[in-house]
Amino acid sequence: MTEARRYRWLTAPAAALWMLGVALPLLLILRLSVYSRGEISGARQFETLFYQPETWTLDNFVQVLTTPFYLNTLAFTIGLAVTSTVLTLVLGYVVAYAVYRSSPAGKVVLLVLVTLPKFTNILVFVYGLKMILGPSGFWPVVAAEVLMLLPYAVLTIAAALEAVPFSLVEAARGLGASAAQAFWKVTFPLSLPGTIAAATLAILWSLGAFLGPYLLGQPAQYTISVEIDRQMNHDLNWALAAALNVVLLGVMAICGYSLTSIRRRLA
Amino acid sequence: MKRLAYLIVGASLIPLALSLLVSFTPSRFLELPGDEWTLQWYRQVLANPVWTRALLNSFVVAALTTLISVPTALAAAVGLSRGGWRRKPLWETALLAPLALPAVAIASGLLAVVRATPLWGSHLSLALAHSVIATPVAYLALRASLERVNPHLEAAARGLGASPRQAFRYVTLPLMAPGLIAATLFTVVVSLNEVILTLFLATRDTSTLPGVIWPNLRFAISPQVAAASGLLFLLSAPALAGAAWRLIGRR
Repeated sequence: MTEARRYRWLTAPAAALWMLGVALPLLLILRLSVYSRGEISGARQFETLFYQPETWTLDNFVQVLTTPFYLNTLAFTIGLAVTSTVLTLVLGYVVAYAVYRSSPAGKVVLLVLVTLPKFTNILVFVYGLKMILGPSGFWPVVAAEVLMLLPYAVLTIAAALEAVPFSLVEAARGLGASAAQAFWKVTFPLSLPGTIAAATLAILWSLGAFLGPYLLGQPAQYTISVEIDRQMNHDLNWALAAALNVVLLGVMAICGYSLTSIRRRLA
Repeated sequence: MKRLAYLIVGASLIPLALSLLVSFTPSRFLELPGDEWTLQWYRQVLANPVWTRALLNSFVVAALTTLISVPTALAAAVGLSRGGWRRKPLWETALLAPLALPAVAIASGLLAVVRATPLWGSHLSLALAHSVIATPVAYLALRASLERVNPHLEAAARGLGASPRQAFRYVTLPLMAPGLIAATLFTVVVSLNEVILTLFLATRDTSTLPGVIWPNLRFAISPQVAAASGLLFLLSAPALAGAAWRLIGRR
């Protein structure tokens, strides 16, 4: 045990990076979200540019949760995330199933092709999408989100499918089940926990959607993340940006928690 | 079913192929090159100080990110697997959390942190931010690699008189070489391609390639942007080839 204890010190650099790069920023967002808005002009402009120090207020949350504009943005963000997630899961399942049924060489080819876009810059990708899809709008944004999420969904679902022994399907067929029956009664239920894991990842990432909506959307397709960027980097209202962040993280926590508990119940 | 799968995968690769093809167009507009292909847009990008500085920044930040992330992730992988932790899954989830958090949230929090330190506007601040995302990725590669090393080999070295440090250095670490290469490649790819952290934290002097492509992408679109994107792809390509080789080589 003493030797094991000594090994624990090796996690110190990662812990330090985590405190500095994850915990501290999140705590700071929490504190920022309850500051009042800074003065963008006047005598105290430079000390209070981003927020008013030493203030405590819930105004930012009231503003986010009562202004129709922010509520609409929040509703759109959730709608976009659900649409993208459902499409990603359907397409991802089809590709993952093809991986499952391919020869070893076929599996490698498919997996390399699927992950290829992940090794390229997202900007290269969006640039190409822009050329194909033309004018911005809702469906180009959905297309961008689905294409960004697809590789992760395929890898997660394929891993779940690989764990289903094909002999079970053969046994079902031998006992008189049709191919479709064998799939829906055997393969699909067994792959469901992995599919829900993919859904969790997809919904969490698409709730944070920023690049797709910003580059391929009209203002009507702007998400919470786009609004956070605007408040943070253009309007310099860090307090409101932080409140938007807290609301977004709250929605993500609810989605992540409920999907994880569904998966636990199934597994 | 299989045909449909290849159709989906093929369609997902079209944007990539198109944007690369357009970078060779002789036209001033975004058109596919016909019979004539040219490298003029690449020459223009490489002759323009705005782009070359971004390219240099990309190299510096990617190198710093690798120097921070890979050793940190290696130490964490060894420490977590051998520390005899009672709540290991919890610590591991915490370590991987940056991968699930929205990039904009991490970026805006980090901006507030970095603005309060003298690091603001330095390559190091950008590299530290990239490391927050790259370390979990490197950790996943290194954990998998560490799990594949037979622990009896290190025990044998200890039995023959090696200190714990020597046994790790001369037995386990060389056996982890593929994992270390993969972790380095992934880290470089993450850093080269990171957009959101770069947008929030880079200044005009430290901005990497994606940060300079960004405003061009929204406003003035010329094949120069395609060429800059093409360069970024070219830089990531060795990593891609390495990963593919590993996938195929394992068979």
